[in-house]
Parts: sequence; structure tokens; C-alpha cells
Amino acid sequence: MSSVELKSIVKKYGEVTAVASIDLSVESGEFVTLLGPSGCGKTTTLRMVAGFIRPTSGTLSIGDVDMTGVPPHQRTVGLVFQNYALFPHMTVRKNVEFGLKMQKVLTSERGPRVQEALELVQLEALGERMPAELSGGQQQRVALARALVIRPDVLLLDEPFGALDKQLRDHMRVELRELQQKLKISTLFVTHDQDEALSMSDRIVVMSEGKVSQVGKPTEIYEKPQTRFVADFIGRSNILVGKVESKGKTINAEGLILPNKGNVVAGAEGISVMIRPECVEITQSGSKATSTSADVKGKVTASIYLGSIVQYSVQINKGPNLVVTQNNTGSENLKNLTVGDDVDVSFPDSAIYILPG
Amino acid sequence: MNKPIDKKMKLNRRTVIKSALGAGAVFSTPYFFVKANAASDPKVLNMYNFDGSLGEFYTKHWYDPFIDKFDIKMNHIKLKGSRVPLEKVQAQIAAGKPETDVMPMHQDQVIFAERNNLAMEVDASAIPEFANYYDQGVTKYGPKMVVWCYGLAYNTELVKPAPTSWKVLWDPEYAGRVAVNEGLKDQTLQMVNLAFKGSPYPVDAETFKHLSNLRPSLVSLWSSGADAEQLFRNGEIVMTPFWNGRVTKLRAEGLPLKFATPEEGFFVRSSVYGIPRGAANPDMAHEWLNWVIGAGPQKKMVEYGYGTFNKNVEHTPEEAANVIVADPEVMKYAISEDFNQILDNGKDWTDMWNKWKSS
Amino acid sequence: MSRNSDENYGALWLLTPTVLLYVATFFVPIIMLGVLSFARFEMSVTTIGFYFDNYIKIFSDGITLKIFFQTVRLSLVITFWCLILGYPVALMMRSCSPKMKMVLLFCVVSPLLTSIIVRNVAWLLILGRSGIINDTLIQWGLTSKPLPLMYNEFGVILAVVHVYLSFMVLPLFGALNSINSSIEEAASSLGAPSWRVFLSITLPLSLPGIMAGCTLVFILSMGVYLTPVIMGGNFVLTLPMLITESVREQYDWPFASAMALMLLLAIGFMVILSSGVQKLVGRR
Repeated sequence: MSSVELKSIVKKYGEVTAVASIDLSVESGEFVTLLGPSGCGKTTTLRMVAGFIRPTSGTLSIGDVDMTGVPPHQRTVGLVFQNYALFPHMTVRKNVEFGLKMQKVLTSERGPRVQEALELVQLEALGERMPAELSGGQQQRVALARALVIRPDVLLLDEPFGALDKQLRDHMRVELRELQQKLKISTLFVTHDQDEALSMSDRIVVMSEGKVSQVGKPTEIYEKPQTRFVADFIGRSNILVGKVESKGKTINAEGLILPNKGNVVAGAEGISVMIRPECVEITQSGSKATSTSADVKGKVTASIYLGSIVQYSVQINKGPNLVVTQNNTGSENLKNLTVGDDVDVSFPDSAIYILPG
Repeated sequence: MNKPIDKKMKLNRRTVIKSALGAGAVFSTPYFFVKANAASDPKVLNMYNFDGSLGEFYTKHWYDPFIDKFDIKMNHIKLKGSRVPLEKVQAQIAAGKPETDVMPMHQDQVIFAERNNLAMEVDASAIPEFANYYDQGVTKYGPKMVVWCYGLAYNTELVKPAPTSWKVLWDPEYAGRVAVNEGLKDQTLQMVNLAFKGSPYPVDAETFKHLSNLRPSLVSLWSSGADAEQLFRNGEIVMTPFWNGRVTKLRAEGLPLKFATPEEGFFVRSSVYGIPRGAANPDMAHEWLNWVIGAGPQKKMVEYGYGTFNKNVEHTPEEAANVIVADPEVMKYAISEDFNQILDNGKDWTDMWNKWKSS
Repeated sequence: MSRNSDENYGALWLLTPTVLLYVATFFVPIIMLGVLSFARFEMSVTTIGFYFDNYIKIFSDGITLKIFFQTVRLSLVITFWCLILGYPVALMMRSCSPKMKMVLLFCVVSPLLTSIIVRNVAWLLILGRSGIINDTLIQWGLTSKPLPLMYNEFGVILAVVHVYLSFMVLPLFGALNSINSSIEEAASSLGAPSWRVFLSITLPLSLPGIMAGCTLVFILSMGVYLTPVIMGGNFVLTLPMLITESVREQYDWPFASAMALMLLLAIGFMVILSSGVQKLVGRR
């Protein structure tokens, strides 16, 4: 049984297509993330699930019931907004109780359920506060409790951590994921933040220009991107264009000779090869390299200190410019690398990924 | 102009009133600042003027020819309605700067002005034209002009036969098509008394009993001549107590109106054109008064539709019919009003009037 | 902190023109009103002093107090209708396109751009004896005699509501516009049908706008003078009409001052009341 299922959903505003034929399902208890840059149609998709936007065509079902034309208040969805959207004129308790009132839950039953929801988000002591008296994190927890208390078929989260500072965001991320797994509630999460998507999701739906680019587990999305867009959007990457040479044994990627790991047919051109910067190792020329799949030399053209990592730009001799990141382990080698230094560049075969198509 | 200061500065009640009202004038009439400077020029005359066609008449026949003749400049201050705002002028005089050099006063206003010492006594020797004026047109504060009658204006097509009595207002046939005057409520009250009691006074409960009988017939209580005009033009009313000049004007425009002088009595009023105390240019004001009461300008006013006290003005038969006052036969029915009573009972009458309205 | 207060001190000087203007146009006249209201007016002559004549008259003449309460009642009725008619307009302005918003705004503000005389003529054409409404009703045989739609309280209320609607709509629109629409969406996602969203969320959150609009319209209505004179055929009396009458016809500044102060006190009381209500609601 899937909690949410979208079939060929299209949304057009006049001539402008916001969402172009999306198929998507959230299985029971699954955490699915819609990930993409702003304007990719992810929020529009979420709002169609909530019922605020009516799709131009296609069908949408929640809990295996067709909900395509059903107004929002007749769907049982829990919605959490980026700006919390708490009712400013009601106490925390009243905010949480609101949905139960609307569902005509008996008064005697409401009290314990509100209490339970507040305990779930560890706010049982603040029930009588007004939203304005709470911190951002606390407000977001109230919003979560308010959405969960109605026991929704699906929890919809629209960039819920966007207004929080980084530390709180990281903390809330963990908390929300734990809560979701504890309650086994089907969740559709919208974000443009890949860290959030990668760390929380069972599955990620990467969207671009109203279309789905790739659906998959976080590891698949990161390690085996199916399109150039996904490869670019998720994490840092070096993407080189190459052609197969030496009777199919090697690939010449912008001057860098790599083994034809993917067994691409001989003579093929315009092949995209991805090498993640963290897989590349560089050492001062002359010092001994450990494992080498390609004996390559280059020169450091830029160095950016990012705290836990250092990011270099390395101009490969007679080859492309590679972005390389190295963990900041404090080693002398790392510290000595400066712009203009000659370096030996190495990466394992496993770092070479050939994009399909 | 430098008078001993000790006497002037003595603080008594009068000076307190003066300064309170004077300050009021300063703060409530901003344009006063502007006018004050222009006023001290002996070649400049500041005058009130009326709205609408009467205002145009003044400009064309009573102001512009005088400007040309004496080569002066003139500023007009437009009045809203037919009465000079004496309450404002009082404050201006207290501040020492009345906004005009001449002010037309209704007869009750003359009494108020006298009691509060607002008008200068005119120098009759500077107004030789008084020789050609009927005695009842001459007062110590200036000449009376613009003689108007207050009778019954009616639609000749819809009111038949021609009314001869105020009582026609109470005729059920015209219920819902008549109005009376709120602006000059003293005349309305006197009119009711004339219709039923034969004498304009006293205004009492009986007066209001008759008004209450009239109440269901009334469309409106109008405040200004322009309001009444509009009621006629839109067909809201077929008759109302009104003054003759407006009727003449509306008839000239083609409206089927006529002015009747009811046999119980009708009212004749005029304005005294006086000079406010402290006026900037009293000499030129005298000059204008002398000129304007002359036969030439007065004849023009007769042509417009209002009467004159100048003996030398000739009336055509039509003019005589319009201005009423030139016809001794009709004038037999004119009643004499007690303006002291009108002024002093104004408040009580207004209270009774308002109680009647809100009952 | 000290630097901050220094800056504030400097900014105070910028207020000087405003303060002077207020002193000149508000406080001085009010003090004069106060002084004059205790003066005595007898035989057309004003005597400054400390007499209670005018206040005694207000409470004992059997008409001033009555008209005062009639004015309050009329103002409340006008405020009520402005709210009832203005709220849907403000709601619509919030949700419609920017172009439509401008059209609505213009419609609402347009009465302020025309004079009472012009508006009166327009109303005559609609409500008059042979106006559009009466003509139509008679033609359809719904009435044999023209209905009295003008020169009565109905006409006054209609004309005043027409003019003051904008003073209700603008603060309402401001308040509604500042409500984040996701709050209402949250309510509807929690199962509230649209009428319930309106009653539980939109209405209470627009309360500051309602209070501001009502206070504004009420204050303006308490001072309404020309419209009842023209549209009410003088049949509908308001306190400002009595004040004007007292000054213009009787030259009785002292009594007019006492009535004006009474009006001012009533308006002041209303402002305090409404801000009190707002504070109370805000704390809840």
C-alpha cells in the first residue's frame, strides 16, 4: 500500500509549466524527499498533495483513495511550513488542539492526545505559552506536534528547517528523523538542501525544471547519478568529457588518460566521466605516492581553506583542471601545499564513474 | 495711531474676550494672514461676494464698474450661503483685522453687531446719495439694499389654482411634494403663525402643533437657496416658501415657477451694508456705498430681480411685478418683523425646532 | 547605550515643527474651547468667567443630550454598515490580481475625490422621487407612490457609509494583507473548511484592522455635518449640526464650545476604549 501516489501529474499556469508529468509514490512509513533548486516544481508538487493546488491533469491518491479534486480540509495530511504558520492568537495547546476540534474528536479525548503530541516534541511544559514567546526551534516543534496530532495519512514538510540556524537545523534533522522512524509515518519532505536530503531520506526524488531527474536511495543518488544535472547538483564533482581510445582500453578525458572501467564501446565520444574531489589525492611532487591508477602530475592554481577540508584547484599537465578536496588532518604535507606547487595526483579506479547515456 | 498704552493694556474681561476671540481668528482663518497685508493699501478694497448668479451680478454691475471708475484693486471673499459669518467677523474685529471693508448684514445681524460694537457708524456727509434714498433705507450703519420678499414659490403647472394662502402647504393634495426652510427657521415659524394665528408672534407649542401636522407632507428642510432650487429642478417639490429673486432667476431659465404673496402676510427684508470696525479702508468703503446706492447700480439690481430704496429708479411693469416692493397694492400685505425678538428668541426657537424635528 | 540616547536626543529636535504645529492647531484651540465653554452668553454678548450655564444647559435643555446620543447611535450604525460592507471588499482586494486591486481601491476611494454636492446630485438621480430606483419600482408596479429613499436617516446612512467606506477598507486591507496566508493554509490542512478558517483564523487575526477601521469611521461619523444637512433634508440631527447652528445662527460661542468639548470627550473615550480592547485581545 502506498500512502501517496502521483500519476502523470501536470501543473500548468497558462503557458508556463510548473510540473511536467510526475510519477511518484511514498510507501507506507517511508521518508521521501523532493530535492531540487528553487523553481524546480518541488513545492508545487507538495502543495498539490496538500490540496492547495489542483493539478492540470493526472491523478493523485492518498491512502489508495483518489484525492485529485478533494479540497485540503477533507484530506488527512499533516503540513509543516518553513515559517511554522502557527496560529499567533492561540496558545501552544490550542494550536495543537485545533486539528482535533476540526476532526470533531471528543473533548475528553483531545486533552490526552494533545499532551501526547506535546510530549513527543518535548514541549509538554510550554502548553500555555503563546507562539510569540517561543524560540524558532520550539515553534517548529509545535508545528510538528500540530501536524502529527491528527494522525495524518502523510506528513508534508515544506523546507521546515529553512528559518533555523545551522546548529539547530542539524539537531532538528536528527530529531525529526528519529520521530518519523518511531511513528512510522509516511513523510514527503521538500528541501533544496542536499545534506538534509542525504541524511534523512529513505528515498530522494531529485527534480529539475518540473521533471524528475532521478529517484533513488541517498547512496545511489550520490554515487551513481544518472544525469549530468544530478551529478552537478549533489555534492562537488569533476565532470570531464572524453572519448574512448586504444581499442576500447582507455578513455581520454580532456587529456587525462583513464581506464575504460565501464567497458564503453570503442570509438564512443562525448562520454561524461565523474570524479568526486574527495577521492583524489595530491602530494608534493617527489614524495612517494601510495596507490596510483594514473601517473599524473599537475600544479596547484588555487587553494581554499574550509576548516575541516581544504579545496584545491589543480591544473593537470596537458589535461583538465581538477577540483580536489583533502581532509584537514593537520599533516605537514597538506600545510605545505601552496599555489604554484607541483603535485603528484592520484585516485583509485573506483573513483572513476562514467555517467550513463 | 499711537495711543497711551496704560489704558489699552488694562486687563479686564473685555480684553480677555478680545484676545481669546482674536487668537481664534488667527488660528482658525489661515487666509487672514494673506489678506492682512493687502488690506492696508488705500487703493485696495476687500469685499464679500456671493456664490452663483448673484455673485456674478455683483462682480459685473456693482464691483467691476467701480474698480474701473476709481482705478482701484479689489479682493473678493466668497460667502457660503447668503449670510456674512458674523461670528467669524467678530473674532477678526477682536484681533483688529476684519477681512473686508464692507459687510452686508441681515437685520438681526445688525442688532448683534450693534450690541457687540462690530460696525462703524457711517459718515453721512461722505454719502451724498442718501438724498435720493427713502428714509427707511438709511441707517446709522449704512444704507439698506437688495430688498427681497419672502413668499410662496410654486410650480404653475402642478399647483392650481394659484395659491393665495400659506395654508396651501398643508393641502393633502400636495403631501410629499412640499418643503420648508431650515436656514431661516425664524421665517418658517412666523409663516406658520401667520397662516393659523394671524400674527407672526408668539412662537409657541401651537406653532409646532401646526408644523407637526405639516411634517408628513414635507420632503425636506432645505438650508440654502441652492438646495431649494435643486429640489425644484429635480421635481422633488412643487412649492416652498422662498424669496422672489431666486424665483425670477429660475423663471428666466424656463422653469414654470411663480412667486405668490399670501394674503395672511409676507415678509420683506433687506440688508444693511455696513463698514466693520477696524476696516482697513473706510474711506474707499464710503465711496463705494455712495456710488452703489446711486440710480445706475440700483437699476441694475432691479433688473436682476431685487428691490431698491432709491427714489429715482424707474420700474418697467415686469420689473415692478418681480421686485414686489414697487407695488403699493401688494405691499399692503407685508408684515413688519421684530428683529430684536428674532435674535433674542433664536435659541429658544431653535431648541423647540430641534425638539420638534427629533420628536 | 549612552550613544543611543544621544542620538535620540538629536532626533527630538526634528520633531519641533510637528510639536509647534500641534500646539498651534490642537492644544491652543482646545484650551480656548475650554475657556469659552465656561463663559456666559447673554443678549448677544459673551462674558468670560467661570459659569456652568452651558454645561447645565447641555444636560437640562432636553434636546442637546438627546441629539448627542442620537449622534452616537447614528455613528455606531454607520460604523456597523461600513464594517459589514467593507470587510468583503478588503478580503477581495487581498486575494485578487494587482490590476483588480487598483480598480477596487479606486472605487473605494473615489467618493473622497468628489464633493458632497456632486455626490448629492448623483444620489438624487438614484434615490430621488423620479430617480432610477423609484422609476423602476413604479414601472414594475411594485409600488404606486415613490418611496422616500432620501431626506431621511436611510439617505444619510447610505451617503455617509459611501464616503467613509474607504476609512474602513484600507486598515482592514492592511491587517488582512499582513496575515501570512500559510497560517490559513495550515488551518485548512488541519481539516477546517473555509468558513471555519475565516472565523477561527482570518477574522481574529484581522482584529487590529477592524478596531482601527471602526474607530476611524466612528470618529469621523461623530463629526459628520454636511451630509445630514444635504442628504437628510435636515431631518436627521447630529451634534455637529447643533454646534454649527449655535455659532452661525446664535453667535453663541460659549455653548458651542461646551458641546464641542463634549463631542471631543466622547471621541477620546472611544479611542481609549478601542485601544483598551486591542490590548486586551493582544494579551489573550
